[in-house]
Amino acid sequence: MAMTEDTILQVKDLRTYFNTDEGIVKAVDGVSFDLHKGETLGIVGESGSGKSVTNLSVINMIPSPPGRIAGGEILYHGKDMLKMSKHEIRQIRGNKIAMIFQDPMTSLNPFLRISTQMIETIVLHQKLDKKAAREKAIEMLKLAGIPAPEKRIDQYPHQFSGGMRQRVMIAMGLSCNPEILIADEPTSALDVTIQAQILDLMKGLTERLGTAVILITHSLGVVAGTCDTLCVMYAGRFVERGPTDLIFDSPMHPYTQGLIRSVPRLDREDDERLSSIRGQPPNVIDLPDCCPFYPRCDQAMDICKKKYPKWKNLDNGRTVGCWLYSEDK
Amino acid sequence: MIRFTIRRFLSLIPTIFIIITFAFIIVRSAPGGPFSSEHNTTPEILENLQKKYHMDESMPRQYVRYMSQVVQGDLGPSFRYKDYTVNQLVKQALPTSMLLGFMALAVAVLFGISIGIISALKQNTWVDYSSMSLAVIGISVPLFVIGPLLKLYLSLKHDWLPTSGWLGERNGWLVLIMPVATLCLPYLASIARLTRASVLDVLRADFIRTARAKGLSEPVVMLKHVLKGAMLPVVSYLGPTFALILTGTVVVETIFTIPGMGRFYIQAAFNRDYTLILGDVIVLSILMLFMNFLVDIIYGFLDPRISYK
Amino acid sequence: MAKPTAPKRDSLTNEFDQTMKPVSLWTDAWRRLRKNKMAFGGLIIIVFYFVACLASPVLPIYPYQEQVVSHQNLPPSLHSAGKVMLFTRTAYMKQTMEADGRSEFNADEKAQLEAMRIDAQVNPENNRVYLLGTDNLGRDLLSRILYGGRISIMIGLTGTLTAVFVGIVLGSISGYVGGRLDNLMMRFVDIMYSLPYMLLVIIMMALFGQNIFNLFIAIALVSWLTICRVVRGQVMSLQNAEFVEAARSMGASTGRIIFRHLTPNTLGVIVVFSTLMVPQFIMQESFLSFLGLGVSAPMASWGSLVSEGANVMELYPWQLLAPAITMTVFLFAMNFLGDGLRDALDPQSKNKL
Repeated sequence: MAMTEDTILQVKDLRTYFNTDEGIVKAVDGVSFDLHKGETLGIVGESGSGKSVTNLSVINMIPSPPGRIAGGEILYHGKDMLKMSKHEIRQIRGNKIAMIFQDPMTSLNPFLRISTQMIETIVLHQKLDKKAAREKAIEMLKLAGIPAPEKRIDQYPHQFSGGMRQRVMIAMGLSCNPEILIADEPTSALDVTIQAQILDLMKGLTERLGTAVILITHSLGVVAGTCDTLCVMYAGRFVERGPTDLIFDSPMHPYTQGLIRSVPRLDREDDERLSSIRGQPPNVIDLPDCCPFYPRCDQAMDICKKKYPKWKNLDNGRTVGCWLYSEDK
Repeated sequence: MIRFTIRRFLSLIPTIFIIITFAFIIVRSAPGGPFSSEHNTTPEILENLQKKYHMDESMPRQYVRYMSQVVQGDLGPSFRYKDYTVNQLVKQALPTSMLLGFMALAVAVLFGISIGIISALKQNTWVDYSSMSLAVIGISVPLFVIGPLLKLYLSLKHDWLPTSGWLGERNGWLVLIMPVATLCLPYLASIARLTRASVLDVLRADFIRTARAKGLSEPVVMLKHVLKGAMLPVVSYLGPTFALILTGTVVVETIFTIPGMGRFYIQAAFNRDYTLILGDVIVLSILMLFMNFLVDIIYGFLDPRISYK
Repeated sequence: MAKPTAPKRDSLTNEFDQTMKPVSLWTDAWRRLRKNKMAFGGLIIIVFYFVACLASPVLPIYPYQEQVVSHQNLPPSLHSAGKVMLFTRTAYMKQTMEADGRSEFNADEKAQLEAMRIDAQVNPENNRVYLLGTDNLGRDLLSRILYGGRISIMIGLTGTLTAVFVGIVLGSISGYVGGRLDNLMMRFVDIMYSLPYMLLVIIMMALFGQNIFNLFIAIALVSWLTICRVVRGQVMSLQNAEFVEAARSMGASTGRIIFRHLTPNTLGVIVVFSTLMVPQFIMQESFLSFLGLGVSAPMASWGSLVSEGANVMELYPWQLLAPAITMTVFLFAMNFLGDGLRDALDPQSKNKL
């Protein structure tokens, strides 16, 4: 992929492995994508497909035993983040690239006030004094929809409800006006109605501030409403990538097709059975060289059992990794 | 927070009552009496003694009489040491035991927490392995083994430290070393283990991941985010630790011949000196309960989830 | 599109020809325990102690209460008692000799030594070997330590089992039934928890006399509290857990739920707790024995042996060292084993050593 003017992040062939008692888990095994200014990129996959690990790798926060980044490059404005010193990375974290996590219940420090937790980030990265930082924090909380932010900022996390806490996390994440916001399943732990609110909030704020977003989720519904680009992940690798509309319109990879087909629809006949993808995701330890999806694939061919598919770039900005689309089989 | 404090304080009172009553019942239901080992007592003298100490009255009356005395702060006369009241004896012995106990606690807490934190930070290095192995030894060796062993090597074989006794004209601060060391060792070890476990636990928490993702440096993460939460289990353990230390003074005072409450306690038990026994139990229990109360308050300070309900 | 069918496969290999080993909690835990060298070493030591102490009545050692007055206070040795007495006497005489400024034994001393030598050869008693020496009444220390171990270990085990049993029963009932019964129970536990129980135990032992039974009751009285709380906590949290609802929705009865679902989950905690409770029990019993409130003569426990040893440690240090080291090694091994079990059963626990 060519690097255009507004590409801010380029991940090239990222590999993150974990050493376990049973063998080496190749959680991420060759992932590549580009992120442009203001773009919202969605990464969709089942549990265990490697989505979260991909993100943690970007900001280099993989717990070091037992994990390690085994290969690849992560270019932020052209500089490889994997080669940066600890000091340099810390200046990017929270500041240029912010991350919010799945479970707002446990992601905030229960022993410190919200004000403390928000002010420390702002003071650290924006060099404001405490008073100014506090005002900025209150403003962010207001933008995030927290009522009476001047009062609530001095409260403790347990005094907020789940949805409120996630709003606080978002406010905290965006408080230093980062270029990229990485959201790791931000709504998975919330009620459905709150989910919609939070997604709307995120979309609104990031559009307003011009933040690029990497959104990780296992829910296609979430992706459809919010993401410009979509990456479908399976067993540690991307299987399909491209503009969301195009993919939903005509999914190419059998896995993507299966995913889209399995979403229950209102316009189905009453007695039609729900469609699902048969089988189980594979154990990613010691996978042989084949397409990891082949046991569950209706369109599997002989070559799928023997070699990993080649990545094919199409003209409309789409890429797919499947033998069905490769001329040489 | 204030309400929390008051509530906790008030709950102490019924507990003390229950303890005293319990002790009273135990003590008085035991066979034998304070005068059974006296020689040269004729029945008349015995009767007079009983009258004098109100032991001819029914048990419930004795109980009420005793409780009303205690509430006014009078722990009664010692049955055994005829010329002294329990209050006097306690006044003599209590400061010694408290000094011993608090010093041991202070040393255990200071070193225990430090070692625990260092071990946690250097997990799985030789520092960690060796200090944790030493800690297991620490909790496995009983006080009454450490004490005599220390005495044997430091005092008898090498004459570096005085064998026994307490602060006074003959002994300077050197005499404190062995008893305090003996008393604090097992608890230093437990606190070290507990601190280490607790720090490791907190380091694994999600909010620490958030803190790091915000770009905070390791020292800030440790001091600001980890420490507060990690100290909670240690603080709640301090209450029982203090109680154990007070109990331990009984042994340590015996080994090193220190004139404290612990030694009195055993003697009183053997002598069936009811008032002295009960007096000791009351004083020591109040101490322990108060310590527990203090610990609860400190815990409330540290954990906002408790006080800001 | 044809209806897809799942390919038939062997339960142990999946479609990628990867073998999947089924693992149960216990086999997994055992494997982890084996890997932990210190814990496993602890286990071996404990087994050795158990066998040695519990089998002590049938071991070829001298009876623990048998006194041979002439063999008082002999140091540990591989030589026979007679020779040992000879050595000590000779050494002692040498001391007096040097104090007097002489360089040779006088006639009197020589006669004594000669008499002893003959006695050593003639008297069959003097052929005894006291591996760990004797105490002040001429009793073999090794036997006393083994016997004392038996008493101490039995107290530790039975005490722990009782405490655990009572704790489990009361805890499960309290947790499962909930409501007012639970409230009452927890208040009771709270109050008992705050009692300075060691003090009360001391009083009880001093006043009611020392025998094993009293000792037992006194210590067991308060020990069940923690396990009761723990079990109750587990029961309450598991009760609301989804897999219980799932089981119930499939028609499982309450009994089945308790045994097949709740118990295995709590068992891990209970096992670890028990392993760590045994040394505590032993420590408490020895604490009391040391103060003279535990087992009484002629019975011995490690605590009483250490107490006796401490009295004479200046002159005969081995009388203190032998039981002290024996006991410490045992407690040490048990604590390591307990730690290892905790790691093995809960690998995510922070005590990873």
